Amino acid sequence: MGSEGSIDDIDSLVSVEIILADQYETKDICEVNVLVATLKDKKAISPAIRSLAKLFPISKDLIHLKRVKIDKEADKIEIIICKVDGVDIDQIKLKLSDVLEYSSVKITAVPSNAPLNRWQFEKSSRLWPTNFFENKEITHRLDGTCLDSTDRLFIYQTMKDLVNRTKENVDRTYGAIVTSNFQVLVISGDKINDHPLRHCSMNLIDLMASTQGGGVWYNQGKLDENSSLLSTESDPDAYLCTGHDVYLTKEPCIMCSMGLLHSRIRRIFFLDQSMNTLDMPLQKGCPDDFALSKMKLHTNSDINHRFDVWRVKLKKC
Amino acid sequence: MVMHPDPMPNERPMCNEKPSLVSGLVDVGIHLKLSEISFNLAEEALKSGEVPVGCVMVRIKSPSKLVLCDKDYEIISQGRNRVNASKNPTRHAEMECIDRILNWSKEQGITDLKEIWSSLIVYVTVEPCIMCARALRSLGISKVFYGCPNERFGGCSSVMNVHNDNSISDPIIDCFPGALNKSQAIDLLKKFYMGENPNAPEPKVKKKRLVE
Ligand SMILES: [Zn+2]
Ligand SMILES: [Zn+2]
Repeated sequence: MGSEGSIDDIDSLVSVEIILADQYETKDICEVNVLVATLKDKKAISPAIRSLAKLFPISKDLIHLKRVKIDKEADKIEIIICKVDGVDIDQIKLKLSDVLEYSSVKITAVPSNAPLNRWQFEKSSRLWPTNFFENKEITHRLDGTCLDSTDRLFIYQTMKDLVNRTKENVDRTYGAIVTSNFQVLVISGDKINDHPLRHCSMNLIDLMASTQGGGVWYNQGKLDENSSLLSTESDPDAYLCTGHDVYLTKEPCIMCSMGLLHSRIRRIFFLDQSMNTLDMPLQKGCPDDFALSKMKLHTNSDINHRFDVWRVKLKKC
Repeated sequence: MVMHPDPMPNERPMCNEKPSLVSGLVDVGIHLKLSEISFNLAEEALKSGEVPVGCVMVRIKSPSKLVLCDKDYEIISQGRNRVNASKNPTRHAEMECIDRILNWSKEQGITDLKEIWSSLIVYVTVEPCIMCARALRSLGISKVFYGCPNERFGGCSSVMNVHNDNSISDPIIDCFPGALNKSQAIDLLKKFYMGENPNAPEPKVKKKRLVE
């Protein structure tokens, strides 16, 4: 693998962004209508909270909301009564007049879901005071800080090496399988000219099988000019691609994504398509299914193996 | 008057005039025969400690695209799951069949397989997974007969609709769920997952078996 690039200027060489399920990535929020009462003054807040806790306990799907909104500028204090769906507002007003000192009751839109990222939190808070139990792990994946500069340098060097291979063998896509401590195990190009389904990932999976004493296309150490085994010792406990990452010069198609999933891959790094506008040859290989970037196959809740997917952009090629 | 010799045993009768067709395509008798071959392959997989799925690829030769008698079709490939033996989790029955067809066509000197793929009926005991469904669709295979649904990874409606998703440019696949005996397919899978397989490896090995 190449050794170009230094750790100090790594951010000028490469950027990586994670592809998560839509609900974690979106900056938009959904709303739901609730009944809100305006309280007469500050002293009314505590008694109101106490009596509403008995009379109208907040529904479970709204616990991300604070009960009271204090608008200092408008000198206004509002409190959530309940959701408006299927309630008789007049009936509620009657009940409220016994326990609450309020001046008016109205319907207001509030965020319907707990915020999953900072953007959603900010937007939600503008609508109504919201609790944000920040999932630090998600945040670090979204802002990319879960990959340090050593990770990024390796990603840059590995991807650049694969890009150089695609330049030498025009049309071909390339990929590598790498252990969690950056040991490159196998490298391969696609072989779609010989076999319509031998996309890069399918070859990599079979190469891995051959290192574990199996394999169909590469059995008994049979290699070809576009593939190489880099690991010297074989791990007797190795199980498919468990714990390993794959680096690809093109986003895998549905078949390959699912093949990698069957292989228990840990992470997928693929080169961003806009790279093709740089001096990259147009790559054939996998069809443009956008299996990960648009279909988000890896976030399908029916499938139980989870893996992270990262889109890699090389800024200098 | 011409005397007709008795038909050979196992030989299908001549094309009859009022055929009873499965899915409007295949004569019932021929269909049962092709199903049986598929299930035999699945049984063979089970005996070898593999997920019991069998697959047969049948080339339709009649201009009408119907399979009414023996001369209307040809079995060009048979395969079953070989994931454990190959240590390659993508070696599903369908993938095995596809590789055999590619080898066969090389031997036959056939370079353009388009016509072959589009003339196939795939018999498979379990709904193709997402990976296999995409593979079949990439090749232009348009008819899939299967037995039971694949609840965990099915690509023909159970988990994803790879067979007819219109964001995929390749021709869609017509699927015929239940064309092969559903409960027979499920029973085989149950035997595998419940470890009723007499040749099942020892528990330690079993833990590492590939079960998709
Ligand atoms: Zn692919
Ligand atoms: Zn499959």
